[in-house]
Amino acid sequence: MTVFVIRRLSQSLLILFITSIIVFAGVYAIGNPIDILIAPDATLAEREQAIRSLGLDRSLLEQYSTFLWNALHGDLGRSFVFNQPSIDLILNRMPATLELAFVALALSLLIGIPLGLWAGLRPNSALDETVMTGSILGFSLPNFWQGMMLIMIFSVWLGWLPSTGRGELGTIFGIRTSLATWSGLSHLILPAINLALFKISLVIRLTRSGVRETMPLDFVKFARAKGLSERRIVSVHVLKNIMIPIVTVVGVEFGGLIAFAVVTETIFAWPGMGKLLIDAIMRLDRPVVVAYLLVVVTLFIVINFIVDILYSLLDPRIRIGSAS
Amino acid sequence: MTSTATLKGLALTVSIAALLGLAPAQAADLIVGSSTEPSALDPHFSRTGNNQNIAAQIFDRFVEPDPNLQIRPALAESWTNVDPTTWRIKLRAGVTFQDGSPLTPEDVIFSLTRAKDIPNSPAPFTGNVGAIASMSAVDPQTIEFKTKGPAPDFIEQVGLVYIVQKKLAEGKTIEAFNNGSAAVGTGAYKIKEWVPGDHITLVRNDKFWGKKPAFENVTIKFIANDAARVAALRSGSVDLIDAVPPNDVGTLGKTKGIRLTSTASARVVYLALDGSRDESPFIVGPDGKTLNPNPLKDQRVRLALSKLINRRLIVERLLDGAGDAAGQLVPVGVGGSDPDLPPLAQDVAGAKKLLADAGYPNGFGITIHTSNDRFAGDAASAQAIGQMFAQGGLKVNGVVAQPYNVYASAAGKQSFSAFIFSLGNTTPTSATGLRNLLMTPDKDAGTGSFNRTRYSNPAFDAKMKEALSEFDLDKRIALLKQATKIGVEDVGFVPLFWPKVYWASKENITYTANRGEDLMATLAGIAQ
Amino acid sequence: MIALTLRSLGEDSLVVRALNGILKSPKATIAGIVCILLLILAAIGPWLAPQNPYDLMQISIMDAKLPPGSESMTGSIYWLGTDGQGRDMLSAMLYGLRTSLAVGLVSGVVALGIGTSLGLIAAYFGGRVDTLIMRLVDLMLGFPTILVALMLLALIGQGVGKVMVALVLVQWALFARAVRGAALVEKSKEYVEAATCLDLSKARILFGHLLPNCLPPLIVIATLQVANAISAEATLSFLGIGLPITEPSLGLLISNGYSVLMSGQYWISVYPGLLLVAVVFSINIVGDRLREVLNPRLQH
Repeated sequence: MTVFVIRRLSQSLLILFITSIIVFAGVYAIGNPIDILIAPDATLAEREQAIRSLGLDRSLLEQYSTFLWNALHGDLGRSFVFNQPSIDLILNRMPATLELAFVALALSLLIGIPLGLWAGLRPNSALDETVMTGSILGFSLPNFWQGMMLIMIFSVWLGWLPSTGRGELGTIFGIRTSLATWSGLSHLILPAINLALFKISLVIRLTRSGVRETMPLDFVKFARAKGLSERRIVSVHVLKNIMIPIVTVVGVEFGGLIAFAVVTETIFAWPGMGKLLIDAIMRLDRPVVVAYLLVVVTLFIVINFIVDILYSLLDPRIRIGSAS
Repeated sequence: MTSTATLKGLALTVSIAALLGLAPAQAADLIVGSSTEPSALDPHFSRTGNNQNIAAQIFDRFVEPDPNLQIRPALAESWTNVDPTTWRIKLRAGVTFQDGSPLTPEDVIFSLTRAKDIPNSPAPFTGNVGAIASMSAVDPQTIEFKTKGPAPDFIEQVGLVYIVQKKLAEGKTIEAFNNGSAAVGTGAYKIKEWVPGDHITLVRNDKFWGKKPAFENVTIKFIANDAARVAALRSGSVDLIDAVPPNDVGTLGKTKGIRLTSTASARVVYLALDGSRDESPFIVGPDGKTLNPNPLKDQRVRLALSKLINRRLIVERLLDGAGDAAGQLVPVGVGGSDPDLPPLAQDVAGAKKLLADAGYPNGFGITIHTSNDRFAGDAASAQAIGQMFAQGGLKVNGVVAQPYNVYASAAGKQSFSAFIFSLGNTTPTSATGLRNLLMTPDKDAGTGSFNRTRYSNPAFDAKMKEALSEFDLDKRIALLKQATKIGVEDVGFVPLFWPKVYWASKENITYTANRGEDLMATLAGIAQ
Repeated sequence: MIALTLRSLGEDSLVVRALNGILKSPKATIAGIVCILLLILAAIGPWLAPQNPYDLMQISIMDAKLPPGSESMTGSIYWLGTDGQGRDMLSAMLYGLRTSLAVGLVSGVVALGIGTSLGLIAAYFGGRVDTLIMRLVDLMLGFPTILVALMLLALIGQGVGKVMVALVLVQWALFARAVRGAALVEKSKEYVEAATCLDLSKARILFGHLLPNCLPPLIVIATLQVANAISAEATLSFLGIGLPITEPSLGLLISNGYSVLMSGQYWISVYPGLLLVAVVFSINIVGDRLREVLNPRLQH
């Protein structure tokens, strides 16, 4: 176990190092941030002053070694646009993104599991067919278009829900969240649905195949023989059995939610870190782009790591399985 | 939580949201939907419009622009030019900062010194204070400035720098401004809170020296997406928005309960022609090779291209009327605008004759470049000009639209032949714009910083130098007009149009349209 | 494993099985027909389109933003309206469909080629080669497609070729993993040992013997990936970092219409959106059916 942890840790550091080089070199190859940041009536002297003060006059290698040195001291550089530490900007926006991703995750489980159970218990019925086709449609609707249609229908035509931004925040258990106020909730609904739709389809399919694999198993037959009601068999025994794979897959997919939040946040102007990334790309705010990608890569490494550990702890078969 | 509880919760939320959306705003409060967000609350950090919008509400300057960009006294009550290199500025009496401390010459001198060395500032005020050689307080109300040389536009330049409080700002970093502790000005509003990416809240400053603004509490929400901003106004979640997209002007104008205000901006959208080199990368012959000599070097060719463009059509069809066809840099009302230079009308026959005279009866190959996310109608205008060039006999090899971040730096490196840009003007005369756009680039002289085609015309340069060193405003404006005429007749750039700027508000709220394209609560009022 | 039994059946029967499977399901049959129709449309689109929407001589801004069914200046009808440039939406969609499908198919096929080769090599040589390749695969699959593509495009810039490069880079790993899995099962079989003893060339063993047995999972993944790639390209274009405006795919057309969606000019983004959904949906239904029929054991 210790060997595994150490090996993973050193691999992760290597990945981070390589990512930083690639990202740094790549980001510095495109455009010139000065053209975007500078005032419209700036003189050439002012322009040069800005170039110097942002360190853009130094060679790529010089800029990278400064960056690396500072990064090793926990400083990922200051945003060109905001002149604040990039990492602070990202951490400030992270709660909004995490909130959106968690709510979307909850929605996908709350909607996906019942539908998947429903379909799985009546295989090949019209209902099953409809739910499964619906789930394929869910996979097929491009996230951004789906979001536009949500806005068009619920904000523009019906006028029920706001289409943009985050509402008021309140405090629940010491956490600042939109879930605490009506205004916050109403702003959260459309983006959360937008982000969740893909995952709902995924959960439906996972649940359905789980149910279909579990129903013929012996313990279900025993439970039936014991005279337990079908309802109890499904809601307790079957569900418990299929929850492990669902929860692990969904855990891995949480990273995907954070990634796709980039699209959702762009459409709904949700002030999360995905929107920060797109804005930073557009404004050539290089330090923020680099820091964002490093933060997200770290996040993924951590998620994958935790999932791997959980896997081997929860399910001893994993080790046997990987050997064969 | 069970799924039924969630559903009930959802239904409730939906109906509450509907109610909230319809509720009228409280009379004394204003919610603004802004297309831009400042990058910092330190007023000296960046000179760009998005930062100025907020800074101008919290801080004051010596002078402030009126809706026509002409300056009027603000913190400076009066100013006199003692000799060509000495200026005296008298401060307005009785002005206090929002925390009650009086405005002193020390604050002013501190601010003007600080403005040029803000760490990591992308758009510093260096140029504005560049003329100052020394400054000193003559008495508690008067400051004397010595300039490095004669500086006719001294007050215009130095007057744009915000005055911060020395006591609070000295030695402070940008964070102290962003959290509000150092952002204490003399302006009409006090900063209450800034949630980056979401909103800023302002509270009225009851100690303000000037006209008391109509609204007590102001929330400025940042809604960069055009469609979303319009939707927010329609649904009632904001009271006032800026930068109404031309597309929505028609429908919003007809919408009951919505008030639309507009003015022609002083921003000119123009086509730049790469006519200073022997070969231009996207000017090609029938064989696809770049032409040498470069046809764009010929004034007749540049004029022909200008004549092929139907500016009125672009304004009417592409911008839905949200613009005025342009024949020069600045519109009427801004100093230096010449009424004798109307926009060129489309004249295909005349253009073809000019091309034939120049030796290109069958035209030549051209590619047009543009940004697609910089201002309303940038890519569309380029496409339309492509259509017009094609119909005028040129072989249009493409209209290439790029995101501004890539486009701007490529344009600065002379990568294009014909390309669309816009140039904003926030000063009372056309001097700054002409200096940056058409004068021969010279770092030391501070000229030609946006002269991306490296256009160079000695006659124009000479006339501009004369204008820039003229102290008498009327004479200066006359010289600017002459310079403009030289530049326009030589087709140093091809002016296309001045976009109109629109603000939309609920019917009970008025807004003062201004050429600076500003969105400020101080300009909003309650309809009678 | 199914792959085992398939080996003796050969390639023809695989195709037959796939076709039969599709034809047995009315839903998949319809989707299949739609797919073929869309492919034909994309192929002959330029000849069908009333106008070449990228020839500046043919379009006029006088006709900008006309609603569906409007008459043009020359008297023809714009059945699906026009966009902000006066381009006929129907024509723009036919051209866009072509770009979208081309991006999806080409990147899918290239990823298939690279992924398959690497997967086979990993399985055949084992040892360090295998570890290296599979580490790379794990790394690629550890991150969501859209994020990797986004990162790449932010670095290398816009363009059809660049989008394809990004899409190939995010897809190859899936193929490599599936092929390696199927090939490993196969490698232990006697006939491969026999072939090795006969001193047949490595390439011949790899592509002649191992590859055919990896086909079922490949077909399924390839189908689903084409749909994914089309969708991913549309998303990237929407975010403004995919295709340039001069080569609009369906995604870019939708994106162009986004800004005017709320001012009532719904047709500019709704129709290309519906076409995009039709493309992705029908390919996915066919892919899903193939998965059921060929039943390679794939993850989700």
